[in-house]
Amino acid sequence: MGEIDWFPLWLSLRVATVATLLVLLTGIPAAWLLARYEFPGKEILNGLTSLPLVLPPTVLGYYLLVLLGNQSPLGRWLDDIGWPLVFTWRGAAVASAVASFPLMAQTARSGFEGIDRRLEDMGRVLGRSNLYIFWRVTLPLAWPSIVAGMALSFARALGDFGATLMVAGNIPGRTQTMSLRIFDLIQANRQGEANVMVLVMTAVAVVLLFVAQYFTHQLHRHLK
Amino acid sequence: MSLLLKFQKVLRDYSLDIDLVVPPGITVLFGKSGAGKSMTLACVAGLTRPDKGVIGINGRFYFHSQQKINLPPQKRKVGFVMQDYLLFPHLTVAENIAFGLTNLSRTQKEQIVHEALSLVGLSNLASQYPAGLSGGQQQRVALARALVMNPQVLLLDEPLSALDGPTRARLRADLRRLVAGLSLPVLLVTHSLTEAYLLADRMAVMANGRLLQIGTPEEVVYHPLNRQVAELTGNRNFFSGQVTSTTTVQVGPLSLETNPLDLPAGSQVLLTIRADRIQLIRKDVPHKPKENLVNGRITTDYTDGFNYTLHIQLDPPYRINPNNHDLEIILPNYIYERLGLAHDRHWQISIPRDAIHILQE
Repeated sequence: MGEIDWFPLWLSLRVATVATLLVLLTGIPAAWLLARYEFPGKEILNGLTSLPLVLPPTVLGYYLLVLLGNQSPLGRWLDDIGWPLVFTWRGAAVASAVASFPLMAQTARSGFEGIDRRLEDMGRVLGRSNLYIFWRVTLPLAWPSIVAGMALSFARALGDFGATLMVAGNIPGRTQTMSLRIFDLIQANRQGEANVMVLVMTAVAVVLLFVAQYFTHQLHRHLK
Repeated sequence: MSLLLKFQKVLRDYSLDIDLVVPPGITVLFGKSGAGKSMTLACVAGLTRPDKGVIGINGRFYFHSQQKINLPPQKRKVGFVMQDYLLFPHLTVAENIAFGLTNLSRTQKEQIVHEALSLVGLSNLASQYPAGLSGGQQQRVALARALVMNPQVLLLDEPLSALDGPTRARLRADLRRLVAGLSLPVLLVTHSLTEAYLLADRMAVMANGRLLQIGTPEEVVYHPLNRQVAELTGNRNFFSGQVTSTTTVQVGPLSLETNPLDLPAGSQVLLTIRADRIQLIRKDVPHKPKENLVNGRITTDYTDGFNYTLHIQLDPPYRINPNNHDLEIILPNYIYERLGLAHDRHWQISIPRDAIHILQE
């Protein structure tokens, strides 16, 4: 069986962490917008938010490849500033972020929608700015949902296969994540190593599930 | 130091048209739900924008449609205890109370919160979360949170309706004591007549977005201007009649003596007879001559535990309302028992002049 190569595990964790931060930064504003405002094109934004969930991952990856590759202005610009995405681990992070974005946006959205808006009104009557109220009331009350969304996004990013493969390729030691590695090991008939990898991934997933459940529980404890 | 309200707002089901001066003391907005009471408070707090008009206090305008003034809620300094109290569930009692304290040092804030907590008698609960408090405790935290910001106006939206019976009676007295000493205009919304009567310095009766009558609780309850107010304040016996002299009104077959009337003979009027002022004449003791004597029979009765309501059918030829009972009488349970009304159903009845009120059509 030989020495097990742990690089894919560290790479997967790094990709999933960066992807989760990306969806946190983009998913919360999107969720906030959808939960709190009426504006023209809201339904389109709503649809776009869920699209990565329904598109086949390879199709999603193909679109990203077209958008980020050096055929596109965005891809060339990323090349110029020295942050190329295609065939890099950063590309894998972006691909899995896009794939897990709906989970973050939708979980956070229902978190925001579950807050009694009169609490925010109360904050304004008490003389506080909208920004202060967001940080001190809205975000803390939505926090359990946001953390649950992060756990789901992390798990989704950790498991991404198709989109990552399309954008970042499957380069051992560079862009080969756990999911890709397990696939390769099975292809190469290295069952033993594959089993270890599968067990590790299962353990990580179970831990994430508990984290998500714990915070959903917190939500109910506080707000009842 | 009075709050001036003179504004209109068109809403889906009705339009709000308010013209009211709220002096220091408790002014109760009384009416059924959907009358526009809470909407009026939302306009004062700045959570809803009236269509046009003026809201101001001490020459400072919260809202002035012609001068295009509409201060945001943050700039109004309005103390607001909303329905269900709306404490921040993730903040402790002390943090809730300190929420509106801005531009103060930490020690100053702690000092103010400490004083507010002892004012409402909750010093031992400072570090508790709202979920662990009783309804009455939550109400007092909400009140403390509203008061520490030195409001110019205090708004209380159904401050007692979330509480159970005994707690409610106790907290009503507490609320009255806490708020009475403030010398600032207080607008309190309630749909409970008891609450309105006990808490109000002035009562403003509302229906369908309009103010029907403004006055002391005694004025509103005992001298209602029109049928709507009379019904809202618990009057039951309504009759139409015709003025026959300066002191008599003909109601169907019955001629009633009244206090002196300002109306010419022949005028059609609507009148109400206060159910708690009608008297049953005792059979066992002699009595002084009484006003408006009629005979009648108790057809139905029921009690709320304190008072009995009797339905009376007058003896022919004085039936006023042939299809139903003619009069309702309310009397305390102990009188019901002492007179043996459960068995003795036929009585002579007196309708005192003071019980009869002429209403505006």
